[in-house]
Amino acid sequence: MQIAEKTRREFIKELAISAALVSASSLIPGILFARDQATPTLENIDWKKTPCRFCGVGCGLLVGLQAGKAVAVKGDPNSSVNKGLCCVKGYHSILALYGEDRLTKAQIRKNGKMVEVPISEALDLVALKIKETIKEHGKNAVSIYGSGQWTIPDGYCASKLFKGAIGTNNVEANARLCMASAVTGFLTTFGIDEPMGCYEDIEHSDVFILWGNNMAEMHPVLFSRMLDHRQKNPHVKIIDFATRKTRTSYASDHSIYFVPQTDLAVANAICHEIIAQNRVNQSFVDANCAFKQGKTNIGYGLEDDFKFKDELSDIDFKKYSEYLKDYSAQKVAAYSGVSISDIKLLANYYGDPSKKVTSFWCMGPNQHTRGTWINNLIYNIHLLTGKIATPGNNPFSLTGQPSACGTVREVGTLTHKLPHGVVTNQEDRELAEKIWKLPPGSIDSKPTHHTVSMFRALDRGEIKFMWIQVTNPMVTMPNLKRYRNGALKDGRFIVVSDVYPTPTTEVADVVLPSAMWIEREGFYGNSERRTQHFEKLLDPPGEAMSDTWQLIEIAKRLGYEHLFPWSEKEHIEKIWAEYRLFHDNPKHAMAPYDELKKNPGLQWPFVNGKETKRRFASKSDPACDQSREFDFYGKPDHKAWVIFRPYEPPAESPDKDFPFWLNTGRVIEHWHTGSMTRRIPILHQAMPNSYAEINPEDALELGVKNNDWIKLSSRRGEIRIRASVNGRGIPSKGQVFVPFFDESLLINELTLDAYCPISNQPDYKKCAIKVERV
Amino acid sequence: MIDLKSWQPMVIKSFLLYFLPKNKEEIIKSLAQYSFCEVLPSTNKNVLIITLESEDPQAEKIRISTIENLPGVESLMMTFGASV
Ligand code: SF4
Repeated sequence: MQIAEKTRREFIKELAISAALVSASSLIPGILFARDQATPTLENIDWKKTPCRFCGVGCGLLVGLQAGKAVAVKGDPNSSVNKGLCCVKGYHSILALYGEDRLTKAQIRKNGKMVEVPISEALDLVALKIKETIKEHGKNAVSIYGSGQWTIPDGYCASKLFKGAIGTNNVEANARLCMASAVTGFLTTFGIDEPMGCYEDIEHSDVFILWGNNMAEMHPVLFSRMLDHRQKNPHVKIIDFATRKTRTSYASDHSIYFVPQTDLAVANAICHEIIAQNRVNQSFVDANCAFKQGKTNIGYGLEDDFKFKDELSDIDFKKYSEYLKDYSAQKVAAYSGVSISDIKLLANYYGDPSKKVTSFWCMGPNQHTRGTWINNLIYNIHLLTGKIATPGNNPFSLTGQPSACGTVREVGTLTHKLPHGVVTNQEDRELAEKIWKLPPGSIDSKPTHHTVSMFRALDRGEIKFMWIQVTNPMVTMPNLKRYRNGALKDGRFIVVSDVYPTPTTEVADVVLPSAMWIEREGFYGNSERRTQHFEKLLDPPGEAMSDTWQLIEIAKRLGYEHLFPWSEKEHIEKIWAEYRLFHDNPKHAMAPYDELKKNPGLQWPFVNGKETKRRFASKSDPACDQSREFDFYGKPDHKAWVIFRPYEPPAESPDKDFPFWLNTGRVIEHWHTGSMTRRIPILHQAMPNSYAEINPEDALELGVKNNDWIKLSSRRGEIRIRASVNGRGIPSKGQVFVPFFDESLLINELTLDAYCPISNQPDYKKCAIKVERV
Repeated sequence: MIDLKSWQPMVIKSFLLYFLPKNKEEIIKSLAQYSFCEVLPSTNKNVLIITLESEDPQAEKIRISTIENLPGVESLMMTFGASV
């Protein structure tokens, strides 16, 4: 009795502390507590390292194991990412393993109903359906749709099976929805993907400009590092450049609000000012930059048969400066909502040679119908001022998911990509065929579908089979109704691998239960090129199986066992060894397995036993031509390209029928669609349902009070939702913000499936809606 | 013997305590003396998490007021409460 009472008391205390941690995190931007998550008893705990399951910051955690269960979490003090700290999601991450409705058995749809079956039967059916579909409709009728939460081995095996063995480029991942514009931004400006800087730049910067980036909620540990740096160095400034007031705004020194889409014009205005004030770093520009322009009026991808190919042509500095004359502070202030003085303030920070400047951005610039352009334009500012690739000077594109970089960008799980290079390049295909031991010509040279196009092809019936792993597209696809109806049409066969039931498992014909995170061995790669290994620490429940092993089981059933000849015990180590062959060069070398096992993450390029903190600066990057101070070796001319990109309007703007902007996004408590964090009681209680933030003046005009029910409708759908007035975030007048974590309030039924024609990433931040009181 | 009529379950509550930075050490020291509460300081903000155990509402009231009256305490905000 006594023991039971003590345990209950400790348990309630744990809940009390957890509740306080959650409240503190949602109320106070960047707050951190260095303490283990409280647990019933902390005796005999075995602590093991792992990266956090959730966001792209990639904090190192120590998970406490006791009697075969994960019972405690603390930040790993040896991790340079978070130095022993972690946010509220990290602290509670292990609870996501133990939700009551965890999928532990495979299910097959029989006579319209899902029935549990042994996993071997489900795998047999999946393999049979792939074979039948290919036989009847060809290899491009089968597809796989994965995730930036795929571990590196998951993505590698998916690419090898579908692109290599089967020979279809129908491989995509949800990272298309979150960072494809970052990739095309890097490729167009630098010719090579992923950030040149590192998190350590935070402690060297004087000014942080946050481009549409609510870091307090989305990248809380980095945000707290930034606040900590400012606390120690009062001259440090944080400037929030956004469309709505958020937790980040409250902690910033100055907030500047812009009209959606006009970030393009403001970025050009900053460059115009820098040139007008004679603050171009001429020696840097002369040695390291080339000037280019691309096509204009490039469309929005709304038509099923939409096609676009960008072409860059040479211009010179003079021509570039002339183009910018349309972007004087006066002209841009007239339509961007940003005052002339704020444009000049931003230009002064970037242009002042005595200040080190870091720009951070994530979904704001990336989920944008001109996402590639705005990425290019932020780089233009850093290139004109030479503030790049040195400590504290860092244009830093952050990622949202734990392995969007590691798996999707580095392994290349997108239709056009391979683990090294692209399918359209013969040498890259030949390298893949050699490493994968495939006959020459096995890999198709034509990319097929990016994500929106893939779901449209499923709707039209050109794709008949889709395997979805570690993602929840029936919550996240824009213009959702079309794609859900498409998935439900006759003749489509959908396989879903996941850890919990979701709206996506509801449309499945087969559900495969997945082993989650530390229930299997794997690697993630975070935003700063850091690869992190984690061991299998726990047994998965029931028949749950890792996504990697599910893919291998299917490969065997399809007759490709010789391509996946590894034992269950050592397959991850063998996959890593094979994958490293793709990056066997000083620009991208990956650390060996044993090193990754020992360390709390290592940054690539990993050359001669050393990590590379900053790329393109000869001092720190072994791939540079050492006779130059900087070497932008991604481009054949070894220069970074300053690309002129104009302002163009969004695909849909408010009008008299739909007079409000709709912006969607995330909240600190929940991971994406909430399929895991809504199973963590304390996080679910803290943020049980989604809501619509509306501007207080708009609320007054509409007669809407906080918590009233309102109807939001667009040309595509409608939802009823509670209004939030003067709540956590406050949108500018004429704008509405709705988080997308709540599967009972599917805001993506309203969003538009317009995308950036270069990156093919949809814009979740701008469409037109109506707001009505109900 | 427990008198079941007057017996009340132990109540555990958690609070966020906001304080003036200059009084941080003093506040933590004072709170450490009380067996009825546990303290978890933030590493980067002027905030503490407190868990408070009380056997009845009267004791709880006195304890909250004791904490609120410590020099430098700006406010106490409850985040959770449950009976054991
Ligand atoms: S900041 Fe991201 S990676 Fe770090 S603990 Fe929080 S969710 Fe995990």
